Amino acid sequence: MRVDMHLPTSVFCVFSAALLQDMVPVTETLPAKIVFLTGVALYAMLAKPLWVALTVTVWAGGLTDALGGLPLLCTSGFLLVVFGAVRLLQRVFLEATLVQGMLLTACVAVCQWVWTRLFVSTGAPVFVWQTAMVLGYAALGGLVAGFFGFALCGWADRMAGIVKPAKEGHGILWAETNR
Amino acid sequence: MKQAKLWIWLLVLTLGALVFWRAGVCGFSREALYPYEKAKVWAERTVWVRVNALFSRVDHASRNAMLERDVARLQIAFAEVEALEAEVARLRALLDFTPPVDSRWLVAPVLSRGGTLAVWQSLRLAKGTLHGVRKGDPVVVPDGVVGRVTEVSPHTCEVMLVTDPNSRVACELETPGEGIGVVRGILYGGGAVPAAQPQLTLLYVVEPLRLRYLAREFEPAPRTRVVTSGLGQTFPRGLTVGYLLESRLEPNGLSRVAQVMPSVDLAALDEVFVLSTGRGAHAR
Repeated sequence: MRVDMHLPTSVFCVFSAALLQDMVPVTETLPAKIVFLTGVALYAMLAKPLWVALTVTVWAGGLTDALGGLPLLCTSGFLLVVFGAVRLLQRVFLEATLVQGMLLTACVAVCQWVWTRLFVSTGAPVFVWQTAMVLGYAALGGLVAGFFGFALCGWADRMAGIVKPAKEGHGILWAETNR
Repeated sequence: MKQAKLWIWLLVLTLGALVFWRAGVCGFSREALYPYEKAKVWAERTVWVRVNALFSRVDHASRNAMLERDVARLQIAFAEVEALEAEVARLRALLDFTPPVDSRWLVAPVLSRGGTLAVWQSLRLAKGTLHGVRKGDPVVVPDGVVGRVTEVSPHTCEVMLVTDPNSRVACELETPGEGIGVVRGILYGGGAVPAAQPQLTLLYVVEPLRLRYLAREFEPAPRTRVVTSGLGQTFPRGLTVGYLLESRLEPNGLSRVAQVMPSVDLAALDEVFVLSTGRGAHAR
């Protein structure tokens, strides 16, 4: 029986991201959470088959909501909207590279922060001058999360043999050469 | 196609669980992370502290001697308290009086702060139903009130801090002198302050709490201690919550509202006490 290696790699990456996102505290130097789960979900959107990507997206969103005490499907709903946008943009220019992943996660982290604040609004105005500062930090956290998400998931996929390493210039894998 | 089928099933199951088993998903996810969070706390408390001690210049011998003196002093104080406790119990029995909160102290390490998105003022503790923690149990430290338990799983619980905009605590002012009587109010968490300058809810920013519905005639002095009144049936009477900054009349002129600074540094908590009312399998 062939094992679908997407399952263990996805579970591993989502679990690691959830653990990190929950444990890395909010501090005065970084007042917005680093959205590691979003980084993993974005990697899945760009690099995994449709159903795998959809499931990982819902897992990432569900875990963010469940562990963060957020209303049902708040982040999952947001990430599903992002899923549609990313899949459309993928046809134009997006690829699952580290740099593009970091930039994409930074943009999505900013949108996610605003979405969440609007979703759980306590009556306080969201768009005040301090928002700009926090959004800046959210983008910074997004860069870190994107680096983590794309590096970890890429590594896990390569280890599992889902993604083959890039070939050398002469077309032969370094690992296949008879040194 | 066979592989796609597996993922479609997983997706349907996940969505179903999120819709129909929401509380279970929350508890399950917290329990899944619990061993790793606890391992991190353990590493911080034991390994990291010892590594730090190697490179620090703290005089452990003199600190140990000072702590021993403190322990001796506290033992004497504890003996006095025990005698007073026995007297209180005897008098309560004579009056047929039931205390508002009959609880025991449970030490709980802090696992994480703010959840996965840090939109709430919350803490996660490494004690749950197995240790006897129940929803609504008060959480305190020697400096004062921290908050109350809002969600519980077997090994963990979530605590809503007093600074959360949804928090409400029945309080009273420690008024000086006679003739004033008891001045009571309800303490609201920070956050949404429509009339004041708008601020975002950030975990590390300590926004003043609001003590509302105070008697309009009495103008309390700044730095007055605010303590729990015990009327909410959640917190025992007399626990410090904070210190009064200033007070003014409410816009409707019927009562007074005061700004209160929390007495606890909520960003620097490592261990807290849960005043547990329940008995769990791991309860001692």
